[in-house]
Amino acid sequence: MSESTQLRIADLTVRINSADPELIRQINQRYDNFLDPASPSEITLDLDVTQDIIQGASLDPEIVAQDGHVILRRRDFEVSYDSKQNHGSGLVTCNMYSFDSFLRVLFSMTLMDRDGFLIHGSSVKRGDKSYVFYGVSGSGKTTVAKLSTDCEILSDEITVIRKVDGIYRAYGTPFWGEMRKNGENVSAPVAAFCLLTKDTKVFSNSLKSSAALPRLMRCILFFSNNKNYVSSVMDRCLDVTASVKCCDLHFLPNDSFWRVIADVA
Amino acid sequence: MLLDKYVSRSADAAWREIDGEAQVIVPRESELHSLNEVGTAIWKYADGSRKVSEIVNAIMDDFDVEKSVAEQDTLNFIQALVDMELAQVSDNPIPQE
Repeated sequence: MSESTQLRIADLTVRINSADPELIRQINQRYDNFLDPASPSEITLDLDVTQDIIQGASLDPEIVAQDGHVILRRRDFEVSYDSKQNHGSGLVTCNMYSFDSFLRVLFSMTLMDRDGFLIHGSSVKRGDKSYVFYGVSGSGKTTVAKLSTDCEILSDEITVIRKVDGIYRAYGTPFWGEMRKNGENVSAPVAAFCLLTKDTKVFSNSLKSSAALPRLMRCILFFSNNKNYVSSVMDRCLDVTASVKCCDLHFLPNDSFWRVIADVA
Repeated sequence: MLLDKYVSRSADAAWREIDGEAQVIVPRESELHSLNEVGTAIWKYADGSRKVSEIVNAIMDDFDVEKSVAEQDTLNFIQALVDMELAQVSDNPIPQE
């Protein structure tokens, strides 16, 4: 007998069915503030649980086209996904670190068809705007989020960005990093994308599109080697740089960076 | 001799031109290459229908430089593209996908 639960992340509702009640229980616990049993589901997943390593899969996640479907695969999950039917089925392990990785891969792919993407960046909601702080590991994403004490933290690690009614919005996600805490399940229009650099001075410079694009591309999560897919990611980044302020942000370990952000954004 | 070869940018590469500069990415590497103005011109000419020598002449005209300069820059750049598997050369025209 199958059990179900339903997540709603970045206004995208995913129904998960499984014969394994422990998987559903752990999902309900892990994603507690992103559960939404009432909304109509846009994506349905039928998942079985395995304890075995997926044969032939690598340690890094990948998305490969196969027989009219795409396969989302890593050593600990393998799910076949039909993007026309918005339906996936396959194997996952009953481990929330593993499941969270699967969910990130799924969202990286499905958001591309929904004017969105995942960015390796923290984000906060301040007033009626959001600010995205992106950069490589160790650049200070979590630090900046923690220092923003008068803000709602959307995520300290992975933020969803979607274009809604012509405006890019940042959404809170359960994809946490060092803080090990789900983001607030809210969203707000993005005022600025800030590339982080730890420094001994606080300053910020606007980035033109040609400078912002490669920096953004490095921090957007995508797992496909398909040329058309990568081209879509580039086009999405270009649209972002044309629509939203992009800057670099050199900061000290205090909240003084908010003064220079106000000047840029 | 490279000058007599036809050159084509990689069919695997995704690229866009922004502010006059090509941004090129090979999906399997996930590494974005930002080309300068001259590199961008060579990249765009490298469509498989032109010999390297023809591209040298075009660069000479476009940037108003002496032939020796255009030739050296073009040869160096195309060799770098080939080494990075961002372009291929052939004795014959290379059809585009």
